[in-house]
Amino acid sequence: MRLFLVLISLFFLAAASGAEDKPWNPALGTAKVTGSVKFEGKAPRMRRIDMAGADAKCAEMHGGERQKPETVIINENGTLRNVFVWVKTGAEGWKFPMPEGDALLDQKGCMYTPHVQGMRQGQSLSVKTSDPTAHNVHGFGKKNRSFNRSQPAGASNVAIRMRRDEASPPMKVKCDIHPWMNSFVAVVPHPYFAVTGPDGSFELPNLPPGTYTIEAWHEKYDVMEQTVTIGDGETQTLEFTYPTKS
Amino acid sequence: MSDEHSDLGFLRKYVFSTDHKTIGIQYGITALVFLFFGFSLMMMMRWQLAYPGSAIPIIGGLLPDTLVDRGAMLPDFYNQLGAMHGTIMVFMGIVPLAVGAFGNYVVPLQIGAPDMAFPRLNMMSYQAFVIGGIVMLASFFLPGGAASSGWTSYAPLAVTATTGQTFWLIGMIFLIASSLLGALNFIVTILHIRAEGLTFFRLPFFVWSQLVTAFLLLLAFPPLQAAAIFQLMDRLAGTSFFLPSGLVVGGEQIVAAGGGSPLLWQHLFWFLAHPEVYVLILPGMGIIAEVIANNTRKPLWGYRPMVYSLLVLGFLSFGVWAHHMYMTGMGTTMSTFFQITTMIISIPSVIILTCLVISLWGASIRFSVAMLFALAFLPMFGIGGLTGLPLGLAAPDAHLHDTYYVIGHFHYVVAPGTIFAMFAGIYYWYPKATGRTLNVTLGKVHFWLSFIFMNGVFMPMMFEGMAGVSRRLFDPTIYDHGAAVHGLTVMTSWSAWCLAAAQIPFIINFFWSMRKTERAEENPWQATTLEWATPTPPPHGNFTETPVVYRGPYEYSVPGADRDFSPQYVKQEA
Amino acid sequence: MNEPEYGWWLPPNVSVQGDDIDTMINVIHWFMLALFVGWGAFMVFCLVRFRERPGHVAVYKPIKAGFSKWLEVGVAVAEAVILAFFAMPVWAKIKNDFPTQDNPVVIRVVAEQFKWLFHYPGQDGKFGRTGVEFYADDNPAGLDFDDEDGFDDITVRGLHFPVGRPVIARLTAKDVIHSFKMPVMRITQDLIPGMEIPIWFEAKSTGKFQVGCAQLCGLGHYEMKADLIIESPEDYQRWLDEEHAALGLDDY
Repeated sequence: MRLFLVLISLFFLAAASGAEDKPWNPALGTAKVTGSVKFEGKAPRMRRIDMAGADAKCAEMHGGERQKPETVIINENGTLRNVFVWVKTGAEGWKFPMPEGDALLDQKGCMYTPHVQGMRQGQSLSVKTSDPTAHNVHGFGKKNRSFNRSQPAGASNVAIRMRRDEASPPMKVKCDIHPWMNSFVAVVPHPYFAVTGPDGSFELPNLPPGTYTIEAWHEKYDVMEQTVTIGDGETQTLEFTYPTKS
Repeated sequence: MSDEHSDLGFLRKYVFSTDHKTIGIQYGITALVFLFFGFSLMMMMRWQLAYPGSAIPIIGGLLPDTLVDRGAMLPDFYNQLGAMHGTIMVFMGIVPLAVGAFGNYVVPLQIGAPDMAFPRLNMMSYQAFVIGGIVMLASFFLPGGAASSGWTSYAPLAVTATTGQTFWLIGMIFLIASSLLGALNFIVTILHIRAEGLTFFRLPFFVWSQLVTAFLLLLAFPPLQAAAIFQLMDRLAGTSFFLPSGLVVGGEQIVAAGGGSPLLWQHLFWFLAHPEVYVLILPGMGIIAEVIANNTRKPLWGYRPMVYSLLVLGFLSFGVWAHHMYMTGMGTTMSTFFQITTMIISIPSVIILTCLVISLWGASIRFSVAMLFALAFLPMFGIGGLTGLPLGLAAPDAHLHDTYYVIGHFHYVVAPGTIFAMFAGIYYWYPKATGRTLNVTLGKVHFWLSFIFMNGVFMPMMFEGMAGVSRRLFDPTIYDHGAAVHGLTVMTSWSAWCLAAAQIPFIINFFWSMRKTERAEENPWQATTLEWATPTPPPHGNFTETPVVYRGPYEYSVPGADRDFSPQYVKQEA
Repeated sequence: MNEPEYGWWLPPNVSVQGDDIDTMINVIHWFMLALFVGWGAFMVFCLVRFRERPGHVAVYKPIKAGFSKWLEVGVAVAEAVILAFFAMPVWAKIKNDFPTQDNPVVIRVVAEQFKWLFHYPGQDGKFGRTGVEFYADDNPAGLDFDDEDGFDDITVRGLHFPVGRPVIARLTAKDVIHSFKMPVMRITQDLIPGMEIPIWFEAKSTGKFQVGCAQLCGLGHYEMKADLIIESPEDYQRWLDEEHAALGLDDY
């Protein structure tokens, strides 16, 4: 009985501490982490996607040109694209303002745009179709609930609210009708995340001073992390290098 | 023996009744409601098939956007409707109607018994059926919707499907339990409490058909019960009865022990489901035999060969299941065996059908509504049976397998086949159950419209199947050969909706006739079998005096008798 | 290539084995029609001749056995003939007579929710090593990219094969049961995950058709189709060469 009481009070304590998040004070966000993700070594073999034999409408959207898979894209400057970088620990305890609108995922030419993206916990993922063919949006949630919705050509957007954080690894979203289509959506409880683009760099601005674990995730090469301490008004530069040497 | 029951309360009398007649009527009403519901699901599917991608009128606007996009059906909803249509029609519609309703109501009366052998078991069977039905219907309200892997629930698709499939399996477990309890009860009742003088070859053909059906249920359902539990374990407990190693679903290897076999499910399923086809049709044949004998005013031609055929049919039905699986990669030795058994099993069916047709010779045919349905049954079941021929042979099946031809084939067997038999039974026994007769004009309108539109629904499917259009396609016009026969699809859809409208006279007739003041005679069809020896409607305990049987079931137009029927229960014709 | 004509009866047949199947289907349907018309005529005659009317009474035992026995024996004999002389030999030929010479085209067919993938061995004529562990969204054929035999393998989503040359297809499924259906080739064959099922076929004329899935495999089942292109040996070779060039082996 006593154990039960202890458990109950612990539960309430835990619940209370969860509710203790302070409202975010923008004046604190003076520090910044920037950096880039390098790629060393040989790119893996991949085969171009043949859409024509399966769905001519997809291939027409690319003028019949076969597309490369977006799994590993190495930029001209030797950096790696589509790496999701975020603050894994250190940014807890704040109640950040929510961004307006939904996170967008477009289906265009039977590919997902963007291929990798981050969004906020509590925000909705709005999946749009710009294709003249039918798709289905199949999300494989590990913490969030999985979903599987069909979207015929011209259908209205499908919106899915992400109630839980799910950033490591991000949630995979697939179209089963076109099995080459995949996309990754990281759901983060705070606004400190970025995806590397054509120059392979990332920037996590407006951080309060402190010590952070920064994690990078790539769909093929998995995660790596670094710890960084930044003072008021400072900017720290990090560099990640893929593939992970083992 | 009936007096002590006369002051039962409402609940005991109508809800928790142990009287076989009340249970029969409960089964009948529930099954008719399920049949209508299953039919409604199909009508929605027909809209999508006829007008792909356009909003469903009226209903479309009421459905949530997980099922429809601006009123137009989504493919996963179509799959749910397809799976549930099959399940509801077969397991919650026809079996409960044919066995639960007609079997329960008529069998004890026809064998001169006061009730079923185990009245409480009988009640339990009905209750298990209702629980199973509720679980099935509830699955529509789950987040992922109802089961969507077809009524056959092939693994591994069903194992990896949404929660609706779990409900489907649990529902099936209840439905199967219900059928098993019912089957035991029928066997014991028919074997043990027949009236004095009612030898086996004096049993009405309907009772024979119920006896064979009960054996089929008893022997065929347990494998599916086991299989359903296995699949439930695969889904919930991480076993791999039906999952092979190395499955990759959605680009990810699934976490399972592996080493199971997807084909095992198919074998277990069809080991039930082929005998199940005979479960669906045999009671129908029984009813048809009763109605034909009564309305031709002469004995059935070839009663004994028919009974023997029935037994052979029941026995052989356990040896043909794999003809559903020719295209799974089965070797030719196996397929040869199953082709031979399939051809052999067609022969007893031909005998029964031929006997029924030849029974018309030398008759004096009354075209009552029940008889119209019975007469329509013969050619319709004939088409259903004949189209089984190319499907039963592996080579033609290579083209026709899983096309609309298959759908047309088995619907000809169960829809204008069994369901017409059920209608015949309702028109024939309604006066017994209610003490009123159904209106003949409305009945004839119901018959003719149903007859025309049934064919309008299923005949085009034969041609679609010939053209190679696969079944279970959300939008067959995606294929060139599907687009070429789209006109037939539209015709089928309109026929289906008209068929629904054609049931309106029946529904009106059913309820309106119940309130008629004019009472039917005790034996309005001048029939010979024992159910007409009871008061109408029969009281609890059925017979006012214990009947004794003196002759065979269909002694009509006996030479020398003073009227054209000699009931089983009357000792001497004056 | 001309547009195939589809209608209300069998679709065009371009398969060498398909003629036997078509003959069987047609013969059986004539047999069915004869039975049905015979039965129906008898029944209609009875309904008119023996209708209830004043002065007409039923006869207790109007006919003796014999007539119907012969009918049933007839049906049984007809079925036995169909079985022994059509069904079994035709099916055995389709299933078992795999081409041993004639330089068959060998392909691997991988089914997944909800597309087909066709895997050709490429110029070296050797399939690369494949395995379940290699399947990924960008590697639908499950090729081991480290295996040199697989470098030139062609993996496409439309099926091409030449006319007049037997094709051996090895069918496998990744996730659930699918069914490989080519109506114009009179072929239906289930693909069972965990099994590899070989089939063979040979086309006798060229054309552009469709491959479909005939076994419910999920919500995109209806969309699971692929081009089926049967072409002359020259065109086929040209296509292979183009595919090989398009592989861009030094692209990475």
